[in-house]
Amino acid sequence: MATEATEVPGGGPEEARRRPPAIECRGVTRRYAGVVANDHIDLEVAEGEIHALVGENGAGKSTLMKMLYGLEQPDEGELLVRGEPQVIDSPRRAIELRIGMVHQHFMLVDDFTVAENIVLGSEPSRGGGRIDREQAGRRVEELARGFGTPLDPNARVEDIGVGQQQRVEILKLLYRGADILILDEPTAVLVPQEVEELFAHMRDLKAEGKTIIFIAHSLDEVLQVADRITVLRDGKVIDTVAAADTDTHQVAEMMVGRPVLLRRVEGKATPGEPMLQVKDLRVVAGGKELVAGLDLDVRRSEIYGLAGVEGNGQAELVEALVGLTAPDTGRIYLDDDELTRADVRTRRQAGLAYIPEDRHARGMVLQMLVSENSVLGQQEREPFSRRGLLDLGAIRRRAVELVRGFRVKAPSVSAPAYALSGGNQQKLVLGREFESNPKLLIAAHPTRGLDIGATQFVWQELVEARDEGVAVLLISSNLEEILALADRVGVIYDGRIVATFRGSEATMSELGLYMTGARGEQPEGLGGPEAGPPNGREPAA
Amino acid sequence: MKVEEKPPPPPEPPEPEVEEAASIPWSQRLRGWALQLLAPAVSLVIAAVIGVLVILVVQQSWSDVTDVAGAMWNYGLFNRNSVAFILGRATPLIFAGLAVAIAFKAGLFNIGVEGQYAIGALTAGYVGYQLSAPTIIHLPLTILAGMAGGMLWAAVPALLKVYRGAHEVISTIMMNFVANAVLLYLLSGAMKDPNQQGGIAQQQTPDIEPTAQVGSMVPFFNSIGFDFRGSAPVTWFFVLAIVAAILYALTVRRTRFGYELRVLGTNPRAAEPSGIRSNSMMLKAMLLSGAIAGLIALQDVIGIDDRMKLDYIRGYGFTGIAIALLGRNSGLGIVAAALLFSFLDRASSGIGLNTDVPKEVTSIMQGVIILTIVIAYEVVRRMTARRQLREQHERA
Amino acid sequence: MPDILVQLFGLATIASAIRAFVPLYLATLGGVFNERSGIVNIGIDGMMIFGTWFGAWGALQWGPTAGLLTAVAAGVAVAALHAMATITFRVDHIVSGVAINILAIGIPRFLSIAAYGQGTQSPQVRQLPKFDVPGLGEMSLLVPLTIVLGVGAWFVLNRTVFGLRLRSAGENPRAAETLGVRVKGMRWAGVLISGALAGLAGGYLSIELVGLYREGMNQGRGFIALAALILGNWSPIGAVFSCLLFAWTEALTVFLRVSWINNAFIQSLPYIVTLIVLALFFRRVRPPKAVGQAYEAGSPV
Repeated sequence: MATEATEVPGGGPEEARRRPPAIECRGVTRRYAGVVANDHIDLEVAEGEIHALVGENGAGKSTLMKMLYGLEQPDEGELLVRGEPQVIDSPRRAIELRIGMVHQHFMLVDDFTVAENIVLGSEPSRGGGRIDREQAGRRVEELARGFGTPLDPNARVEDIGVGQQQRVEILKLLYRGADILILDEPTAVLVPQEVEELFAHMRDLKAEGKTIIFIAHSLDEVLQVADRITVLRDGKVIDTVAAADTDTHQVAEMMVGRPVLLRRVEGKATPGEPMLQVKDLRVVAGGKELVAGLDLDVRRSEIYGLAGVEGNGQAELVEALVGLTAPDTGRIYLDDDELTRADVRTRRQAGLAYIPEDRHARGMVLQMLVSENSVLGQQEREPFSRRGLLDLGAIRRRAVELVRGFRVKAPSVSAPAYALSGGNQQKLVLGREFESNPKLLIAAHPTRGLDIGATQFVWQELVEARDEGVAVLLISSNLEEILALADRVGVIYDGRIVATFRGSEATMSELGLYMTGARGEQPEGLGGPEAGPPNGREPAA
Repeated sequence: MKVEEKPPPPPEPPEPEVEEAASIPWSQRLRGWALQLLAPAVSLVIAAVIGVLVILVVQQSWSDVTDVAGAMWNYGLFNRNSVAFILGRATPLIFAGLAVAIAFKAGLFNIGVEGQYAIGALTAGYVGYQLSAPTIIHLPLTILAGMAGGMLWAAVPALLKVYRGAHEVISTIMMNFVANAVLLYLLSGAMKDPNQQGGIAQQQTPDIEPTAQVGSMVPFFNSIGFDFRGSAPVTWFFVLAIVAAILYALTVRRTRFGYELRVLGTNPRAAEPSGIRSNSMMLKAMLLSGAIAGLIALQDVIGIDDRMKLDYIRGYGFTGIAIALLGRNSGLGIVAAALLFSFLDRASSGIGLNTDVPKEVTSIMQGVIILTIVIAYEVVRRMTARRQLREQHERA
Repeated sequence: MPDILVQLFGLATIASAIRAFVPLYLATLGGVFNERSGIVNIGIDGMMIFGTWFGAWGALQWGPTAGLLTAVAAGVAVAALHAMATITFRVDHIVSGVAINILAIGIPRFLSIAAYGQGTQSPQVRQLPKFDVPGLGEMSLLVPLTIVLGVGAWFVLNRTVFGLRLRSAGENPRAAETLGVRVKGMRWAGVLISGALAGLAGGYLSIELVGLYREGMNQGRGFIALAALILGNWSPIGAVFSCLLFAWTEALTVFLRVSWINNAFIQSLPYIVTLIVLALFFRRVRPPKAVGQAYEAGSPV
């Protein structure tokens, strides 16, 4: 739904359309390492509009934006800012052109204060190169008030919350007088309520005459706030449409090129006895209880989806389950084994498999071969090694199996892993863990970074694993994914499970309320008789 | 994107092609090797050029340059004992390089090889002169004592790293200085040779029993046609060094221990989640490194000579780092690098004997080689990675 | 006063500690600059060694002031090699630093033979005029200079535009780059400054403290400086205290003579204390966030 036209400085949208577009791309092309990231892009962003850029991973959205901000340069084509062709060869030049960018992963110096972060690179100075700290503080306070969010300029950035950090990022742009604002996936780190606040801010900025380009994944959000939408696929512009004239189906179709969306995958098996049991788990760090007396059960042939905003203890829970940190109190049982203090290797040998959130950093070694990576975590098992010696042939055979079975595009299993694309590297890691014959599979954000086809494939594999008897603990910030796959859904908030639902009965809005703590803790009995801890057998002590 | 019940399933993407076994075409392999050799070759050329420049600047005469080149070639390679000297001098360098390399594979910088080999020499010397036993017991025991001494000295920084997170570069260097003090203390006190003449500079231990000594390899070489002088400094330790290099290569490539070591060294963050016990691996790597370091001086102590002398601690620890860097931590590379440096050493004697140029010019060349090689390897690594990426995208 | 207390805290010991403080603190200050810009410099010891050699040589040619300047120049030149290797070519920081230290073993000897005819020692050099502190004896002019440099360093790092940008290069170079800060330039500056200070430290050692160049005279001070850097929490102020501690142990090697502690142990005191410091303090301190990481401007990743 497009926003209503209001009184805008310099005239309304009619007048704006008569002025040159804020940003225009003509035939912009960018290639690297043999791939064409942007292929003769023609794009117009009108002044004073909110323009959304959507597309799958790898479609070229970020690259295009980076060129607008001077972080990269086009190989061909022209960029026009306010009607004038410009060469934007550095962020400094972009800043001079009053273009600003908020990156998907915040560009903040944790150790510096809010004010220092905002003024860095354009510091107000007194004589002799000294920084005028009073002036910096004053300017920041002014800006923050004008923007509608009070901020303490002397607070350290690492101490403030994510929503506030994002506001600091936006203030950085306003401090430099930007009136063309680029936001890269701004809603990725926000909870539904914070997203609403962000959209309100965006509409305010638009009312001030600013132009906003934003990259997004969630089509619902895009349609809520954007005036026009441009769809990219494989580096090319497919079309630009007005938000009022389209809907999510159409846009998704343009993004993917075929009329299909992800669909819920139904499995055949029904949940059985509890496989993973977590009782009263507590993890304390830096004086804070990050996991605060958490109880959790995941049953055989069940996918348990854990929903929650990042930072509520999921990461620490996973680390305690995998064996990377030792909990302060509580117990963890896998089938008949107590694993509370066991090390990672013991847990893996007991049947635990783990797909880490950051596959590249923690799940593989890029400089080692594909074959070597395909047995990482299982290298001590037969047939991969016997009496301390590796069986290279067996390792290669396993690698070939994984590559075939998970459709990993690789030149050869003896190629180094960095020769694979990011998505294929991920598939290798996923495949490896799936095929390790686990009893319990912990999957942390398994489809992050994958395109639609790969995502659907992984969903398929998760359900198949579930059908084969595996207990799957799915941690995801993608509520659609959880709703599509989970038999049971749990919401984690402040280190505890505050609500559980049957998968088919959970709704996004209710989950959202529990995720932000707005609802407190779920009273007993909600969510159906099968939600909540099952009357499982007590594990053998 | 919404999730819903909609009919047609997505069309299956085509099966990717994968070759069966490790069949990278030979032409590609050869190109890979050629690139690998490019780096050391370039660095040697640069070192030679700089060497020439230095001679010109200092001596201001072209004839000195040709003299040096001639001396390096003739004396360095073709003097009667040169090959023996090169093999013999390479022996401690090989051990030093292997010691540094095994720690490096685990991501650890063992700069303390210098101190570890000093202590190893002391412990080996002690067992050598204090015990009396038949060779079959005495010799292995002495060698093991050397390894144990090095291991002991590496244990302190290893434990500090694992349990306190202390950076091993600083702690190992501190241990070097302490080892120096221990060396002086023992050699002038408890381990002093009662019959020794001369002052502090000639500190040495008592004679080591013949049963703990390793024989010279000269007779062997003589029997196969090399006319070495009897006193040429090559012993059977050379064979031991080669064996060690082979064992090192096999361990790294073919054992589970080597695999886990490499994971730890290349991406430590991926080690723990895959069950590798980082702490215990780091400890083992450092201790192994110290043990190999303990062997460095043994050729001098129980091979060529029959005592431990202060003199025998002569900087092999740092040269070992250079050897490991130059040889890129591979068994073959380390042996090749050790032979190269050993040749340069031999050549420097030739320069000193037969020219007017100070023989230390080779140390400048060694220094330049080290600096340029690390840059060259990095550049080659990036070129190969970029090529791989390009090929991958062309295939996609 | 009991003899041991005089040895530990007497005026002679304190004076010696102050003199030992200078090279240690200058080197540590240099380390602060390069590490806070994001580059690890293990080669500070090597840069100091080149400073000692070129300082003495320069002083022999042109007098003590010129000697100190030559030492600084030598430090900067060697630092430029390290900067080029780590920043331009993105070689591993520690590998490059080790390479520099190896260079510092071989090259000075060659230069000594070429310059003085023998490899281990230079002739004596003239020193800067000294000033007298009552009770502590003669002090080099470099002592007050060092204090001024320390204060200056704190000011530059925490109160100037340059300092903010330099620190950002070491904490979050990506963020800095998006705001137009030239990270590579900041890192070059950090490394060159550390080279200059290390060179100055070396020059002080050979010209002011000892009066000539002798092979091996640095005795690992560059590495102790690294420990002092960590103990001082990467700050010019903190470094004052950590360096005073280490300087004091150095003074003790001269003055502490206790019959039941062997001399070899006393000689090792600075190194043992360093080890203890590492053992106790390494985990509690907070290095700059992006130190040691290679950085490529504008990389797509």
